[in-house]
Amino acid sequence: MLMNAFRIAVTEIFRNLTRSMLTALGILIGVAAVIAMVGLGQGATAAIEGDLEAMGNNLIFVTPGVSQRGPSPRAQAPPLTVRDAEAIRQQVSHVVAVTPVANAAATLVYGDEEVDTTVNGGGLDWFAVADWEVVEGRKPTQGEMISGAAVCVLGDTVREALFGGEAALGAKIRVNKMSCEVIGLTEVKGTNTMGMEQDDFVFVPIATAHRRLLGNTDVSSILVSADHTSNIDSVTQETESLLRQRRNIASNTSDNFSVSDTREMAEMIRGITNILTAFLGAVAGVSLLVGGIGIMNIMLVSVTERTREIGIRMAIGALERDVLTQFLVEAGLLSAMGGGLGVAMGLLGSWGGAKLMDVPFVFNMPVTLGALAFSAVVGVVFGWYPARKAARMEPIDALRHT
Amino acid sequence: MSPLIQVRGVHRVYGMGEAEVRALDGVDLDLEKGGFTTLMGPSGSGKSTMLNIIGCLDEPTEGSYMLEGVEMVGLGRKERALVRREKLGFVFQGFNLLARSTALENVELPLIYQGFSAAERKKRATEALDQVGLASRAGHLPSEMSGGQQQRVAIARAIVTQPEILLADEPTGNLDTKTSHEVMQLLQRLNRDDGITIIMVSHEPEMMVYTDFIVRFRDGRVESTEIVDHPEESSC
Ligand SMILES: Nc1ncnc2c1ncn2[C@@H]1O[C@H](COP(=O)(O)OP(=O)(O)OP(=O)(O)O)[C@@H](O)[C@H]1O
Ligand SMILES: [Mg+2]
Repeated sequence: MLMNAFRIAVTEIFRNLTRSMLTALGILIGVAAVIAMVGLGQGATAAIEGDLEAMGNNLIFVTPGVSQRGPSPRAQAPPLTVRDAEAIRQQVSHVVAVTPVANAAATLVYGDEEVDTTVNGGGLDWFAVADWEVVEGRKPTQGEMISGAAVCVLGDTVREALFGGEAALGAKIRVNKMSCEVIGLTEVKGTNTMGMEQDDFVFVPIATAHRRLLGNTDVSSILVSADHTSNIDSVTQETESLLRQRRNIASNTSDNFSVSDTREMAEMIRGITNILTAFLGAVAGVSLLVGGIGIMNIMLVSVTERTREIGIRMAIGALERDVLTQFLVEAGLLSAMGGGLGVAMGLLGSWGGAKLMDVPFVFNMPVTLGALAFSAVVGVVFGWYPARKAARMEPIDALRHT
Repeated sequence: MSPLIQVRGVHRVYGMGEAEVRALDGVDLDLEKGGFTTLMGPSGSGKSTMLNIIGCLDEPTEGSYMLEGVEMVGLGRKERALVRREKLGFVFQGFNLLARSTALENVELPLIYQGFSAAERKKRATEALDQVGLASRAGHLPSEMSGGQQQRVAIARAIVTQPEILLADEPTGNLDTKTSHEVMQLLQRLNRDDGITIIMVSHEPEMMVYTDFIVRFRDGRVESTEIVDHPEESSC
């Protein structure tokens, strides 16, 4: 009987293919939306996690102030110092590299070319912590670091803007009012998923930045690299207690600095993408429900149209159950057909979207199967009322229907 | 032994109050197994209503209807459906074939609901089509057949389950005279050769010669019951 119900359903669906397609369209769009949304959401998350990994090795950030609470606490909190960074290097275990960072905006000039960029003043460890390789030239020497020599390492974007095809190494450029020799060029990292241009910077020794560019000795952040992912927590805790001690914070007062790592950022970003994915998924779910109502509507029309057929079937031996099965199978199949096409469209959409947004294409098996099963269930649930209506007809009334 | 069909004091009232119609107004009727009976009478006299009640498609408002000694009045929907499925076959004036199914598929339909395998269905349906002389039209759609052919397919569909009773409401009502006679001869043969009890509604007196009994209805009651005498009947 079930086999025959399937055959009848297929025949009916194909008999009025245009109508069937339009009916299934709601489900198709719903399923496609669910799959594309979830796929793109996961692709974006994966991409952002990749970016965070690229930012540095087991990276921990120390920044002054507490960014979340209070009215501009950053302003009140005392700045970090180069000595804080030194203390972390010497006293916190499992630390492989530490660098203080002082940032400044600067205009770089070479000949007629001019470009605005960010100056990253840092220690020698900056290259290890932030995971930069110098591919041409060299890093500053220890001596240049201490003396605050006028040397710089250019990111590729800045090099391209100032020099184009010309040789950059050894050239003298101006950074704001300071004249400075280009001694190194870094690898090309390109744009990350969040659209951040990673190669747009110039590195100078932090002493140089302090003395010749900033005119103060503030450290805007300290970057710490742990030896292993599993030690990030212990490094974070030790750094925290060390800095509380160094900054004389009473035990009943909260920190006036914050220590965070990329996992936290990853967590936060994952949280945001998850909320977005859930939200879009819910929208898609609503469109599935709307699709289900469309199926109910068409099935009701179909039941009315086929009243006489139902009467004939009942007269020649169909039980209530047989009629119910027939219409339920038809609704379920119609919906599952929409679901199947929706899966195809959704995968295609999320694949294309992933290409367009330059994020990895993620195929989520459970979500795909779930959406397919859910669409069939939607069909059966919304097909229930029309099918029951058909099955409950009085054969004599159904036969009289013209 | 009780008759195959025993109807006692059956009323069928449609509507309420002013609009009340007494389609059947106290009918008593006994029909024996193996008979070929025609229900006759003017339009609106209740023939179809009676046939539908006998066919378990409709229920009396009042009264008793026993089929093979079993009371049918008060049975549930499912039990009535099972009686239709196991014991009865229907032929309608308008043929009532499924338009999008071939002759063979139409004839197979009752067997599907009886749960036969595909192979067995095909075998039996082909036999039934052969019996009505339409084996060669098995693959045709109803729209590709004449009225007489369609009615023969409908008859094949009604007998494919080997029912005890065949119910036919004006089976020749939509057919020309020649085709009507062919269909009547077919029904008569099924009655005589296969022993199927047939109850038919008809307006046409010339079709009576094929049947054994005539029950005349008037205003929802049985007016008379007659036996048809077949003077020196040769084979058909
Ligand atoms: N569903 C219904 N609702 C209301 N009245 C009905 C219904 N079915 C039949 N009737 C009425 O019951 C009476 C008997 O109808 P029935 O169909 O049994 O007549 P009939 O003898 O078969 O007539 P005909 O020869 O025209 O087919 C008629 O007056 C008809 O109008
Ligand atoms: Mg009638």
